[in-house]
Amino acid sequence: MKISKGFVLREVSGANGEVSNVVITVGAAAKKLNGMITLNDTCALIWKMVEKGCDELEIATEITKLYDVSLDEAKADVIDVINRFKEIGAIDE
Amino acid sequence: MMFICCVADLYIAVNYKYEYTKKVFNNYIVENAVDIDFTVTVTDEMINYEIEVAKEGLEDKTVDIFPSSVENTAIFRRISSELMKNYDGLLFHSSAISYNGNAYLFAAKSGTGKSTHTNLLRKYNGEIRHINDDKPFLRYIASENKFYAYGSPWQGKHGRGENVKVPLKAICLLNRGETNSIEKINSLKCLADIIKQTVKPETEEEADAIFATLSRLVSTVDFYRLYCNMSDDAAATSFNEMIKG
Repeated sequence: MKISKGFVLREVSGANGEVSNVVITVGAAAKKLNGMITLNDTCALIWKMVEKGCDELEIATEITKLYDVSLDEAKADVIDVINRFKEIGAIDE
Repeated sequence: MMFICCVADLYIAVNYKYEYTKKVFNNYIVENAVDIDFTVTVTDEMINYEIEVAKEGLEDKTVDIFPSSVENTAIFRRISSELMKNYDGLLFHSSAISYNGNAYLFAAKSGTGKSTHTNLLRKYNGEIRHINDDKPFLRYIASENKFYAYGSPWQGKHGRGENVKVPLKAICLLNRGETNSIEKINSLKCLADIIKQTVKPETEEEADAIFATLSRLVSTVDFYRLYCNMSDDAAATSFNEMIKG
């Protein structure tokens, strides 16, 4: 599992130190996503861990360290988010 | 053939093939330049690409697109890209006006009526002038922590604009509405609208450059959202609430 070629996650910071996680496409990937999507902090973390080559279980384990959730709950959420990334063509198997 | 032009405070040498191109650049051409910032050399490949892009937008694909008519678009694409990658700038598709030494940009999807609105504004207050009605360039000047809006040779279908440089005060996202209202907005929440007005990055390096510039833009310039119809009251709303203040 990896992030598809041409999808990039970047941070945009506003006036009061507020930060927005934005995914856009470059080059030919623009055909898959026109415009951009905004990710909340957890989704951005999942994205960055997929980039590093982590699997669902590794990502879920990391999330249980940061939030008060069980491993099963975290895993279900991670799979849900990853499926949504797949729907927009942002993840290759 | 070659000419030197000055666009967005950059001296650009342009190697071109068609006479029409030089006419497009008309009052941006300079006779003497000390230092050239970069050179654009138009190739057949660049022209063919522009012909493809132009045809994509046409219903009838058999219509001939003349290379002479798209050469300037190829140059425009290169200048926008250089500006974005190396000069803290970007193209911002919008209708740009100036009033009292400040620039205001009106951005919206094509066909919403940004040109109509800026034209209403000029009728409303005779001191308002067009910087550029379609494709102004923006640049961040670090030493002043300020953005400037620049006129460009691409002035839209009404040909409105001047070769000027004006400090950028605010960007207004324009939507059609039954009645007229305007409010200041959190620019980070409307990034999706902002990002659509500029050039799509081709590489990750370009994406990095554009996000760096956008981060500066959303933290140094005021953003507004305007809902407006086509009446004189629409101009009064944006003038009194955004421009005059």
